[in-house]
Amino acid sequence: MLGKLLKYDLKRQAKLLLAAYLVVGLTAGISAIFRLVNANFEDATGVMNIVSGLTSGMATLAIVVMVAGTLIYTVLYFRKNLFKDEGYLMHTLPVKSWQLYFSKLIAGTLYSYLSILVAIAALCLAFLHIPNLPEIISQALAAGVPEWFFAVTLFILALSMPVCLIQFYVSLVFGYTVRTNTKTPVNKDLMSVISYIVLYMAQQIISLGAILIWALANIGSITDSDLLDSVEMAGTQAATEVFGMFKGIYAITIVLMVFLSVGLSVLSVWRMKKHLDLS
Amino acid sequence: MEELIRCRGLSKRYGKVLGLEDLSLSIPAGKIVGILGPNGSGKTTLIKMLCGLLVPEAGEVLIDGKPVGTESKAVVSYLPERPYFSDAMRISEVVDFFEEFYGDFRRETAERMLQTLGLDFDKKISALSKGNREKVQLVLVMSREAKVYLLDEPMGGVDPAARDFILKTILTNYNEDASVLISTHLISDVENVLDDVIFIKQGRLALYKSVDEIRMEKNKSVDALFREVFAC
Repeated sequence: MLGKLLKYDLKRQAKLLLAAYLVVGLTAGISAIFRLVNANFEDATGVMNIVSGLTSGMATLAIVVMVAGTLIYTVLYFRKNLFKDEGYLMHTLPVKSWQLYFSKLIAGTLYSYLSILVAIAALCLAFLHIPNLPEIISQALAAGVPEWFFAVTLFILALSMPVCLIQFYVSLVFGYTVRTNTKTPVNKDLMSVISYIVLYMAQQIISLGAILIWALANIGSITDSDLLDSVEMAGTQAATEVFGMFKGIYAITIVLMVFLSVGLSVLSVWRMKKHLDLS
Repeated sequence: MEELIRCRGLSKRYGKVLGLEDLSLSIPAGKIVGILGPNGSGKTTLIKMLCGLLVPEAGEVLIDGKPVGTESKAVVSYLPERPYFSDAMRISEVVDFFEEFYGDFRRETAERMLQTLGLDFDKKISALSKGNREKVQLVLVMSREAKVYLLDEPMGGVDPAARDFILKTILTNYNEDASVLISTHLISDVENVLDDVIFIKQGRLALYKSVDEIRMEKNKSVDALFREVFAC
């Protein structure tokens, strides 16, 4: 059933997102054409420069809107499909609550990744520039950046997509399943926003606390640290010291991200199962 | 007779407003039951609890001997009082959707009824009139060979001709071994098709009798008794 739900969620969201990708592709293509014209004609005027700049700006704007829009759209889709009128259909399907939740999470994550890939491709096209990644990496390695740093940074960036969606989803689940004893009905969207703010603050406090504890345990002091000293060192030695610190901070970040995501997802599914209130 | 629905001590409050209070009842198979009561009496709350859209604060619901969950939802066909299909979907897509998720869905029956309505399968839900949206929804719900049909205000806000279509669709398509629960306050329209009636008053069970019993014992129609029980 998860597969069927996933197919349905991907198909439903595809209509708008594919249209957005098309618009981004078109604006990037137009920007590329004007850049080519500008670069290949020696008698290109000042007007051509302005037009080329404008089309590049339009493409950049379209890319930014598309990436932010993907996140907003997937969150609104979750709300519409599970807690508005469509919820009457979805919650009466013979499927489990966790399947409804994870189908939306997987679809949202896949579209977020796809949007970022489209954004990177569109930027390369719009500015007619493909960065030489192998060269950038080899330069960084020569400067003392360890290999694991690239892999772990990429992993954290990839993990941050579902984590971000989970934070929004859990806020909506709490906002829409909250029970109050007041006579007037509560605004569930407002409750969702409040849930998000509380959740965000709690998460920041936990993260800072964990890093503080780690720093005190490993360095002894957060003001007179090896990390601060190492900044004054030169070259590879400084890099080794700094990245040694990063290893610990990254490990804490990954553990916290996984722990919070699993915990919040379990909580969301439990609320949907035991406290659903489509009234 | 096989018991399909059992509710024990169901209670629900919306803040300080009472939804249901200690409601218990048992509904056997093969009956068409009217859930009757004025607005806000708890009819929709009861139906939502039976199909799993609301979790009771107290009490228990068993559908075909199973608590509300995946197994019960597989045998319950629910028609809400509001449109629940996405506007962006086409009629053909909602038919595919029902076929994919409900093992008891009869595609041929649905297609035959939709053709009778003269609806283009490629039409988007957003392009349909309010009446046609409700008809499409009813057709799909009644095209399932379910054990329990929960119909919440199926005739609310439609013209008399549409009401006839709705009643005909219900009567000619439901599984005869199933229980059909119809929540409505248009009693005169449904009275002739009901086997039993349940009156809900301020969240409590006020009466559960067969229509024949009401007619014989009280010498009244269900409509007349309703007006008497719920007189303002």
